[in-house]
Amino acid sequence: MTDHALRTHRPDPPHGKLPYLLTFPALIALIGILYPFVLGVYYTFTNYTLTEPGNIQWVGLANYVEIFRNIDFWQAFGLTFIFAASVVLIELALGLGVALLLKDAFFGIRILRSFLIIPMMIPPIVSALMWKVILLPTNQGVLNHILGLAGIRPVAWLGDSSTALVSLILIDVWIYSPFAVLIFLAGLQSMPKEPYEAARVDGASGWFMFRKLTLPLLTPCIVLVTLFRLIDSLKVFDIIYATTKGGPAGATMTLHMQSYFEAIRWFRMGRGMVYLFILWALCFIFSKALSRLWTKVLMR
Amino acid sequence: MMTSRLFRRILKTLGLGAYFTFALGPVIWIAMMSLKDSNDVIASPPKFVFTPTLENYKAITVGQHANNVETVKPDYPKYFLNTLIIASATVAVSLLLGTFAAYSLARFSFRFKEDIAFTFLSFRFAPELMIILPLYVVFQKTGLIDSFSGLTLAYQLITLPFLIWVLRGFFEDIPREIEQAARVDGYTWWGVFRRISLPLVKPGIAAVVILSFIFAWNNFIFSMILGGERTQTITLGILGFIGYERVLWGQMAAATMICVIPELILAFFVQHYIIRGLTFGAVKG
Repeated sequence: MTDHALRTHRPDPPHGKLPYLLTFPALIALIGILYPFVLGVYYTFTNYTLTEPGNIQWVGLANYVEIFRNIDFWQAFGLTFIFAASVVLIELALGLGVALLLKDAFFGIRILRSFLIIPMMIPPIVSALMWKVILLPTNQGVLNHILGLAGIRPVAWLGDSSTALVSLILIDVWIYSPFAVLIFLAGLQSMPKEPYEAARVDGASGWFMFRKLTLPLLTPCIVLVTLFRLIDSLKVFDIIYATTKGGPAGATMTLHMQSYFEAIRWFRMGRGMVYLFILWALCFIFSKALSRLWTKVLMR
Repeated sequence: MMTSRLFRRILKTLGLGAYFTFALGPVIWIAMMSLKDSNDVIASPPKFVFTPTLENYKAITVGQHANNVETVKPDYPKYFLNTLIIASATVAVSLLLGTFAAYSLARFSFRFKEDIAFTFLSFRFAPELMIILPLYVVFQKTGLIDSFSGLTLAYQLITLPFLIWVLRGFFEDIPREIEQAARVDGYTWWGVFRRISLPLVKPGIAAVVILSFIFAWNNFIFSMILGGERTQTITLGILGFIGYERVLWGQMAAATMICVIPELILAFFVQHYIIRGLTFGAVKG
C-alpha cells in the first residue's frame, strides 16, 4: 500500500531516443484511440444522423442548448448520481464491515477470500441476467419465493418503476462489493500492530480504536475504492442493458444508457455524443480529483 | 466476559454467513438452474429439489433437445470460438505493444512520460461509448465492422492501458541494483531486459495476460456495437437466449456456466494478483 500509481522517483540518466522508440507502438495505439475521441467531440457540434451519413452540418452549440433545456437530460443526470452515490456508499460500508469480520475469522479466510473472486470475474452482463432470473416478479422468482416464506408479498423488482433502481443497486453491490472487501482486507492486513497495542495498554475501547486508528489508516483504501467504484458506476451500462434498458418509464435511464438510445436507437449521433461528452467530463474530473487526493493521502 | 465473547463470535459468524450466502447464492442458483429440465425451470414457485439433467448443455453444444424434433445446429460453440479468437489475439497484440512501453515507463525518464502514462490511464475512466460510437463510424467507412481484426484493434482499449500500467509496476519492483550490476558487466539495455528483467517479471506477465484475457472475454459493449453476425461473442450469445421471441432460462444458465467456469479456473491461479490488477497496480496485495 505504500507504493502508488502516480509515483515520482529518482530519474535515470538520459537514454536518447530509446524510451520513445519503445513507447512508440503503444503511442500509435493511443492515437488510434484519441482520433475517435476527437471525432466524437466534433460530432457534438453537428447534426449528424446515422440515417443520413452524407449530410453532416455544423450546428455549433445547438445540441448542447437543446439538451440542457431537456428535462430528460436532467432526470438522467440526477439518476446517474443517485445510482453512483448509493452504490459507492453501500459498497464502502459493506466492504469495510465484511473485511473487518473476515480479518479475524478463525478459519477458512483463504477459501472465503477466493470465493469473493467469483462475482467479480463473471461478465457483468451475465451477472445481471442471472439476477434478472432471481428477481422475476411474482412467486416465480426465487427471491420473492424466499421473502414469501417470511410473509412478504411478491415485489415486481425490475418491472416496477419504484423498485427498478433499487434492484440495479442490489445487482451492482453484488458484483462489486467483493472488490471493496478485498481492498479493505489488504489494507487491514498490512496495518502496523504497535499503535493498537499502545492504545490497548491505555485502556482504549474498541470503538475508539476503530475511529481513531483503523479509519485514518484505511483512508487510502477508502479513496481508492471510491475512485474505482464512483467512476465505474457513473458510466454503468451493461447491467442496465441486460435488465431494464432504462425502463420502466425511464426509472433507470442513466446518462450512458440515454446516450445509447439517442445515438444508436434514434440515430441522433450528434445528440448522443453530447450526453457522452458530458458524462466523460464528469468521469474525468472525478478521476483526476480522486487520484490526486489519493497521492496526497499516501504522502501524508 | 466469556459469554459476551462467545456471543460476539456467533454474531460475527452469522454476519459472514449472511454475506457469503448473498455472494454465492445467485451463482449456485444458476448452476442448479442449468441442470433443470424445461418444465422445472419455469416452475412457480421455484423448485429446490429436482432431477438433474444435462438437457440444456446438450441443447446448446450439440443441438439435441428433448421433445423437440427439429434439431437446430446451435450457435453457441461458434460464439465461444469467436470469443476465444478475439480475446487471444487482443491479449497477444497488447502484450507485444505494451511490454516495451511498460518497461520504458518504469525504467527510463523522458519528456512527457507522466503525461503519456496518465493519458493511458484516463481511458480506463472514460465511458466506453465515447470512443466506440465514433469508432463505429470509422469502422463502417473502412469496412472493419464485424471483422476479427477490427475487434482486436478496438479491444486494445480494454487491455492495453491495463497491461501497461500493471506491468509497469512489476518492472518497477525489480531492484535497480540488479539491472545496474548487469549494465556494469557490459550488457546492453536489450541484454538486461531480455536476460534479467523479463525473467524476473514472469509471474507478473502471467497474471496480466490471464486478467486481460478475462476482461476481453467478459466484454459486451464493444462487440455489441462493433461486432455483428460473423464475430458475435459469447456475452451477446448468452443475452440472445432471453429475447422477445424466446425465453430459455435453462439454456441461458447452461451457457453462463460454460462461459464462466474456464475463466474462474484461470482467475483462481492468479488470485494473488487480482486486486493489484483491478486497481491498476495501486494496491500490491
